Amino acid sequence: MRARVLIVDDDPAARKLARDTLRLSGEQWDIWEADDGRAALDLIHAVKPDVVLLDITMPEIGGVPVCSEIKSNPVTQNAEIIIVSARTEADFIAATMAAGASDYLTKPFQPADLLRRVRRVLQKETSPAAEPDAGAAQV
Amino acid sequence: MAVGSDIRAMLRPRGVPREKVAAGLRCLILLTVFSMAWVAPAGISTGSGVRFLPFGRNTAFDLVVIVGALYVLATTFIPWSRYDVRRTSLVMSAVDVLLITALIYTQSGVRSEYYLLYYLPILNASVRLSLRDAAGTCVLAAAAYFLVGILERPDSTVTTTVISRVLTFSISAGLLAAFFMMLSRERRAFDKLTKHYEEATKAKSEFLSRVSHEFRTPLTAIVGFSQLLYEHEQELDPSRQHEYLTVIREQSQQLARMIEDMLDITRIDDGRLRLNPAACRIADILESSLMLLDSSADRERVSITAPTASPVVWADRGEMEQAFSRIIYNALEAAGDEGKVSIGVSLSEESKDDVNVTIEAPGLDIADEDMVAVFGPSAAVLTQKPSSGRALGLAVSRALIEMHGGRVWAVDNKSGGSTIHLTVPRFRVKEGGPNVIVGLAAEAGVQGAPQA
Repeated sequence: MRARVLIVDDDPAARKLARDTLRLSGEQWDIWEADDGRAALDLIHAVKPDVVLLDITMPEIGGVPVCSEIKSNPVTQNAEIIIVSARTEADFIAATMAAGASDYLTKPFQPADLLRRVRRVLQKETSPAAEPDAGAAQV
Repeated sequence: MAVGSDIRAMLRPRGVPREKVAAGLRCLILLTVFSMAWVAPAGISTGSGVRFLPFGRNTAFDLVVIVGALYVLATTFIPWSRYDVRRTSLVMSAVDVLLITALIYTQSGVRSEYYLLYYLPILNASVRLSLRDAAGTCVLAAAAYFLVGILERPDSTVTTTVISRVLTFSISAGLLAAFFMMLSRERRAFDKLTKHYEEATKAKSEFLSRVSHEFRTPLTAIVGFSQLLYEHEQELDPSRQHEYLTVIREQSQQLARMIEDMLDITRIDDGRLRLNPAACRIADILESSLMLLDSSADRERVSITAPTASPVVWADRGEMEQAFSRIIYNALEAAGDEGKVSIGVSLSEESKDDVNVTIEAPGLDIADEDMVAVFGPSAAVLTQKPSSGRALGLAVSRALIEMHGGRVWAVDNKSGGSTIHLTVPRFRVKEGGPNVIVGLAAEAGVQGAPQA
């Protein structure tokens, strides 16, 4: 099954980099993009992604409230969230992880590192405990 | 910041503010003296005329001791920081003097040694207040003590005692007060310096943290796309390779500009940037500043309208070109790929000493937080706001123009864009004051007070 990925970043170059990193990995992905938190929340119900690559510093709605929103909604809470942000403060990272993110990647990053993390959270998601949710995510 | 705290820690025992130590000592001394005076057996502290004994023998004295002790306890535990320090200290010093006078009067009059207690309020006034307040307290103490002497029965020894004691303690208290004042003044100067230092260091670390955040955005694209090119060279078709190279090129230019801005900010902030102004034509400056843009396509999107005989301004041409090129670059960025930026030059209507330059910047939203930081009353607020790369560049422009004695402001043109207005002086002027953008230098506390 093709994994569904939603890339949320206000910087077009950063979105393109994440998209091409996934496409060049040799695997098949379904990729959606959003350029701010508002667009991401509008899109997420229709897309029902397995993984969200989420930037933090964005106009209007930043990444942290988006993360909390995704995790508090029963329909979307199974999406694994990887924060991809230029912010490096340890307490900030701890706060975003507490909001429900599965992983945190600081910019700049190596494409291979992004790919490894995406694969890791997907493996976690397809563990036996997550099986019943797979059907719900299809709709 | 760390060094500042270390110095403070060295000078003061951890956790105990100086004010509290002083209040505690005052309380301890006064209470000790009260209790000693109260329990002292009759006839020992005065050679003749027993006038006091514990409870009941000298009601006035008992009253003074009890009221005095309660007053001292109350004033010790009042949280002073909540009130006007000068006024409360002044009132407290005056009441202390009166209390001590009452103690002397109800005990054994001018023969009492308790006049030495007058030193306490005088020193208190000298440390907390000014020389004038300390002298006032000293005069009040002398007058009160003199009054005690007058109220005693007329006696030449009494008068001599009073006069000699008043003179002795006035002179010695005055000297001590001056000494303490000198110490506390130095202390205050030191505190002020430490505070400046701490603020400057804080501003610097906040600025560096923001800048490092800003640098990461172009770096992400540079690192990521160059790595993709390196790893997947065979799979990528030439058009995709070219696309990646374009992103890498653009982002490297962006990064280079940001580094340039940051270096300029530090040069302006610590006063190393010196202008070498001369008379030059504003049209030439504008034309040259266009050449600093990255591409000729960008240059073609800019139109300049200037009087045929271009006005001459008094400016450091190189720095002024930098200032204009940054503003034009930001206006182009805000206008989008197809947007055009028009620049108009005219002689100022308000003042014949200035040349006005207006830059129409469609798409530039001055309500944006970054732009408010740049075009607000003080460009020194950059540390308080999230700053983007363009905010840094515009802040440099504004600082450079203000250093020339010019002004920069922006007006919302109600059609989704803004007009940036600049004035540049036509004649030799006194250079604009030292500019501080982020408050990196020690003067930051004075010049570019970070605003809350």
